[in-house]
Amino acid sequence: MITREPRYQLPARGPAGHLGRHMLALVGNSGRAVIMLGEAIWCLRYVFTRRSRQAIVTQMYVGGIKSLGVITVVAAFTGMILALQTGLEMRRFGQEVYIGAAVMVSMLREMGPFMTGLILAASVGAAIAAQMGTMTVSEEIAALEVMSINPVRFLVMPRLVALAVMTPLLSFYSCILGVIGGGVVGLTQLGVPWGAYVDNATRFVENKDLYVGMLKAFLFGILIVTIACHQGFSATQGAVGVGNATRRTVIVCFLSILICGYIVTRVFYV
Amino acid sequence: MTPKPVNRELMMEWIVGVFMLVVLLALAYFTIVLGRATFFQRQYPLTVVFEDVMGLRKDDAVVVNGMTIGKIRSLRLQDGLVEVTADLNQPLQLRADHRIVIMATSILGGRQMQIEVGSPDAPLLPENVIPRGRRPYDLMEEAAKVVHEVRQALTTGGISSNAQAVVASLREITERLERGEGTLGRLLSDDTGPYTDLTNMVADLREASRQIREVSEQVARGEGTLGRLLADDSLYREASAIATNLRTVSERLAGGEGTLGKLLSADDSLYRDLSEAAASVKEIAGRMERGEGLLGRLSTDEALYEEARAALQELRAAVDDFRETSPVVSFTTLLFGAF
Repeated sequence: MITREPRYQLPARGPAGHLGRHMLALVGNSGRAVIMLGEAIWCLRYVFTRRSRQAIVTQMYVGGIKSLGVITVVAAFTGMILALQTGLEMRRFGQEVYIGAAVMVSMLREMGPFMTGLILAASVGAAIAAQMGTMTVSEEIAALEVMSINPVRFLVMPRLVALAVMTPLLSFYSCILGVIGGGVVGLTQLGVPWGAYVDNATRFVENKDLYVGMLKAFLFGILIVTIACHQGFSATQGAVGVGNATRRTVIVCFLSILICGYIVTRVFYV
Repeated sequence: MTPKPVNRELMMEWIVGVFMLVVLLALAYFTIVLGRATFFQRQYPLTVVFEDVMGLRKDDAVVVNGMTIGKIRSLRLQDGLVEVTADLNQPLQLRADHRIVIMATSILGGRQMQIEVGSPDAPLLPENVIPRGRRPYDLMEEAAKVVHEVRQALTTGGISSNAQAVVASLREITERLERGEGTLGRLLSDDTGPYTDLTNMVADLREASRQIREVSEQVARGEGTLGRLLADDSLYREASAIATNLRTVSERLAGGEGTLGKLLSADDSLYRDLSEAAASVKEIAGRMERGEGLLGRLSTDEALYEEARAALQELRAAVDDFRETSPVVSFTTLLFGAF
């Protein structure tokens, strides 16, 4: 059950009481989010139904294709900034030809998934939280449950599948654009030939870098959907609650992406 | 006829499908590129045994004559050695003097296996022989070794004792200088004797240098014999002419021309003539010494000499008389001859 009766608690006493109340809320919310995620994964058995397919494609379009513009700009300029900053420093040692390797490694391992995750969290995650929150405070979720329609299967699972698929692809797309942007800067600003740039870019990376980065993006997509849906379903108190849910979604998504990115890096590269 | 309205859902499916297809194709291409996969190229395995691979990894490059011809397929530790298997794009025929070593690709890191197949006149390596790689040149190891050797030399290698001996010698020298011993010590401590000598010597040297400078200036101006010798080239021309003449004379002598040439030539007729002439003169001189003949008597007989002298005097007087009277005789002859 997504919807529940509100629980009335006595006010907390003192800082320790507030801290304890927040810790309990954090643990409780995390548990509810994980349970909701598990339920969504369980609902994956309906992923190939016609209605689910249609909903998934719609979410892929809304969450992925509509984010292409901002991802394109952010990724290209991220690669250009990386190439310029790295190249200017490496030029002091006459090693600017290696900016291809620097940009490629940075984009594939970290910057591509990270920038994609942040963009999707700020745009798609906030939109999901706002939509879910509005449905929650307007008791549409409760109505779905009254009609025996599982809100997780109907709302969460298509978004989960859509972002789980689209985030790695968008991450790879941003990596390519970042590398191209870095190559353009290397060619025009640093005098690095395109061939040498590409040669160095592909020499120092492996498939492991590519797929670990895509794994990160996959996890980021799952995190964004889970956090956004949970925050939306937890919205209370009308429009203000929706706003709070949206704000918390962005903050928690950013923190989760950072922590998850570090853990994945720690697991695969140390 | 108005076109049918586009199905929005179908449009979304198309867009999402195209995007996914393009990105997945790019991902596949990227995977192949990064994996450096060679699906359609025949591979030639090469196994090399190393004692130390210095961090060589799978997929590192195999380089022959600076060209990448393959990559490392696997590394396996066996019997204390590392067995490295590489996939080559083309077969290699290693010679007996081949050389396989692991090198650093750059100062930033990375390794590669570098192969030198060997000289063409060396025999081929049998196929059943696994080539053995050389121990890699580790810059850090060499640097550590140098530091260790320097430290060892400083502590136990005698450098320290030598340095102490040098310091002791320097201390002894400075003490002797302070005591005014030796030439340098006296020079430093005594302000009269050596200093005066040195001053005089310097003055003499200065005077000598001044004179040398004057002489050189005179020579430069072409004054004096040496100056003229340097400035005037007539002497050179004269010497050249003399040399020319000498060469001419020598050529004539060599050619047997002239008296001296004939004397020096292989023809000894002149020599014989001169010898005969000398013999004749010698004979004449002997006869004269013996008083033979007119000249001998003249040289030995004093009375004859006096008579001859008197006769010559009389003859000279007669000639003088004749000379004095000859104009008168001539005039008279002309005068009376007309009649």
